[in-house]
Amino acid sequence: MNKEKEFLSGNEAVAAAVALARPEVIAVYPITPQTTIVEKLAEWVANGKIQTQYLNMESEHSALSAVMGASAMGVRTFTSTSSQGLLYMSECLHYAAGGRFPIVMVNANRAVALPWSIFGDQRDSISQLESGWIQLYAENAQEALDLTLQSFAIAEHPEVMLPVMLNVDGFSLTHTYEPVHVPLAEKVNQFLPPYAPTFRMDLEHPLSLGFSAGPRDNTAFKIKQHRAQLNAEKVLEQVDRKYGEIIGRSYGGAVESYYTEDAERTIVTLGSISGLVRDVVDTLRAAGEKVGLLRLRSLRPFPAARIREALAATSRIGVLEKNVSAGYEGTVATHVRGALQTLQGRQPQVRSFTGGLSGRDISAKDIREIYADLQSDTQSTENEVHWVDPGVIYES
Amino acid sequence: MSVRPPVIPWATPQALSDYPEWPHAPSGILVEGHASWRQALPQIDNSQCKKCLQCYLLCPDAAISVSEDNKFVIDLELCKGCGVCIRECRFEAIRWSEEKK
Ligand code: SF4
Ligand code: SF4
Repeated sequence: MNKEKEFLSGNEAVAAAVALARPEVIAVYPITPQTTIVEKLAEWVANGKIQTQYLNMESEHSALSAVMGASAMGVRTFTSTSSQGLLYMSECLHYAAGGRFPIVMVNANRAVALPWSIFGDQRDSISQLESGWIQLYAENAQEALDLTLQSFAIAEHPEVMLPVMLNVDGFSLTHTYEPVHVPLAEKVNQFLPPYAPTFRMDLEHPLSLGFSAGPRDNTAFKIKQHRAQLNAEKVLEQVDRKYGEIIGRSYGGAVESYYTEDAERTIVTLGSISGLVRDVVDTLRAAGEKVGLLRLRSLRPFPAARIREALAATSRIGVLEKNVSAGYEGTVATHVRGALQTLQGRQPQVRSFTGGLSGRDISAKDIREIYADLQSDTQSTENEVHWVDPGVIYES
Repeated sequence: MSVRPPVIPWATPQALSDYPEWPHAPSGILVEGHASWRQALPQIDNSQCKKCLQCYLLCPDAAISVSEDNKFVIDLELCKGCGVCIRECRFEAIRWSEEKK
């Protein structure tokens, strides 16, 4: 194993992984804070470090359409976007998932307009949960690299065949430098052999690609697509284990629990803020407080059973997300609440915390306050959103 | 002249496993014909036809094929009556039929 670590930003770590994954077509349109991924890839294409068909498109809608076409030809494909770009792709997102094209896309999580903002939060990807894509969330640059490689293996698995959107927090991961272990090419080749397509455009064996299905037949395809998503949960655990065996790092699948076994209060969260929450857990545990962290690494498939299992001991749950569904609460909070509905005879309290919008910092103090809030018996009104340090005097 | 592969007869699926896993399948399998959409019926006059293949290439539902005796024919199960072929034929060999459907 190559023990040397490189000093890389999240985006550079993703680019390094893409180079190792050897996609035959990369089609992109630049957008902050994703651009440095595709700049790096373009540089490597130009200087011959990687061989791929690199298409600089006129829009994100076209970029995703182009990789869909390439994927239909039976090759491995990659694209990358962020925020407004992801939303501009929205039509094609559903198309790619329904067409079962195993595209890998990295989304640099960023706020969506209006008000205009280039800074990070998770409203872009969470608004696209229903698009049918697998959605994974990385905590740090190392995981961004590892998950990029794992994403290809998950997407292309014959029991899955779905596109994967890997989400990497804008700026706090994409532009932050960390020591990152870059695996050796021969190890990656062993982990991720060339893509062997199950269907493709082929003159010898012609296919009608992307046909229509009306009232009689449409549901059958949606059932199959849903099952493929459900299969993905098992597959992502298998892929993670195989990655561990060959490359030497694994993450435990769709969720990562930290001290949840006996936690009275647990924060459920996703993405880069998890590192700070873990630190706060350490501090509070040292002071004898029974707190825990549950990190969601996948929102689609949604690992409901693993969440139930991990939160079996916890009676107060705070879901912290950089997202809000205006008129209800945080979308991830709603999901966690739903996952716990079937807990027999015990109904833990779930509170929805929204913070970090448009790159606003979430501090260790904010996280301590969430744990303190969870201790208080003040019943929040149903579906009340707890705004984490909103930066204004919060008049209710 | 190349002849379009025949439409593969496909029994109305009953079980989930009768369907392909994704909306891609060997050419010829159409999930549904669109005859029911048709408001008017195009008709090819083979005596005017110059065999230029425009209609064959441009019909969005691949309803036009070439028969064994080298005639251009419209598959009435597949034709949805959009009129693209009528517009595209430069020799006015395709017209709307008197019969409505
Ligand atoms: S009317 Fe439309 S569907 Fe019918 S044969 Fe002509 S082009 Fe094809
Ligand atoms: S477009 Fe007109 S002339 Fe050309 S093949 Fe069709 S019917 Fe014949």
